[in-house]
Amino acid sequence: MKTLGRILIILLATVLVGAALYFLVDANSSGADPSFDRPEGAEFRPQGERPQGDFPEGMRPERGGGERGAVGGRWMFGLVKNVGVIALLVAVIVIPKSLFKKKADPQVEDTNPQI
Amino acid sequence: MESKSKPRSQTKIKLWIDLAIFIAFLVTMDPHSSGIPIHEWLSIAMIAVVIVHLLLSWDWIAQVTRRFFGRVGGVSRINYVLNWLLFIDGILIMFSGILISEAVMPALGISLPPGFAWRRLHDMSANLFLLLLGLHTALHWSWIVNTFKRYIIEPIGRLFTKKQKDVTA
Repeated sequence: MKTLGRILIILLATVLVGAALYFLVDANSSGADPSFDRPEGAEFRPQGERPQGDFPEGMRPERGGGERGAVGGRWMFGLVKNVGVIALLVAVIVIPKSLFKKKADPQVEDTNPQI
Repeated sequence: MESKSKPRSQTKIKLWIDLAIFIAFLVTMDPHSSGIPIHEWLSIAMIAVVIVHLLLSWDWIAQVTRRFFGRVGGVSRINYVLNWLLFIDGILIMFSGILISEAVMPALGISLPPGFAWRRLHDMSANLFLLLLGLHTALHWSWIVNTFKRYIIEPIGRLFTKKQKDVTA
């Protein structure tokens, strides 16, 4: 029962924040910034994606290995990039923090802060 | 902060849940590779996992909420604000994602008008989420390292030493 109540609180907070964001964005985007709207006549496609058969002459990707390799490489790049950003932030915060702690009191072991 | 009375199994569950969220986040962050249907359905599934993550941290959330303007440590306060930013940004990602959905909403028979403002907002909030997640990870780094050691590295190490003992016996 306690868990159900907590779930309801989370969902209620989600709905409230979602509604506030919706009205905030809707009020700001209605006519304010034309670049925020759909470009005339252009269909949206995620970056790098092309409609089937729509490749400039001589640019059509090879079947089989070539295409698969490119997709695999792109997947790896995206993954490494995202993990890299997180690792960089962790390093920037954790390394100076542990150095400062060691300098302040070399006897004290690292504590275990946790949510 | 995690109370010391928290059972070990709960910490273990939390570790696996957090690992699952992290891996799912990495997959959903790259929709060009995973494909739009996986990106959308996995994101929807993540809502349930994030709710479990919040429920497992409920004691800390309630404690800091009650004492936010009173006696709370600086790190806890930063952590609390950061967690709210993550929550708000997460909702923005989900909400904008639903509004621009190409797989989930059509599969449910719901068609929404194209919202290009929402699409740009979806991208921007996802990038912001990556930064916030990095900060969140950094603030919990020692917990991550300790729990990883206790529940993953040490059991694997014990498994190897046990095998070695069996071989030498």
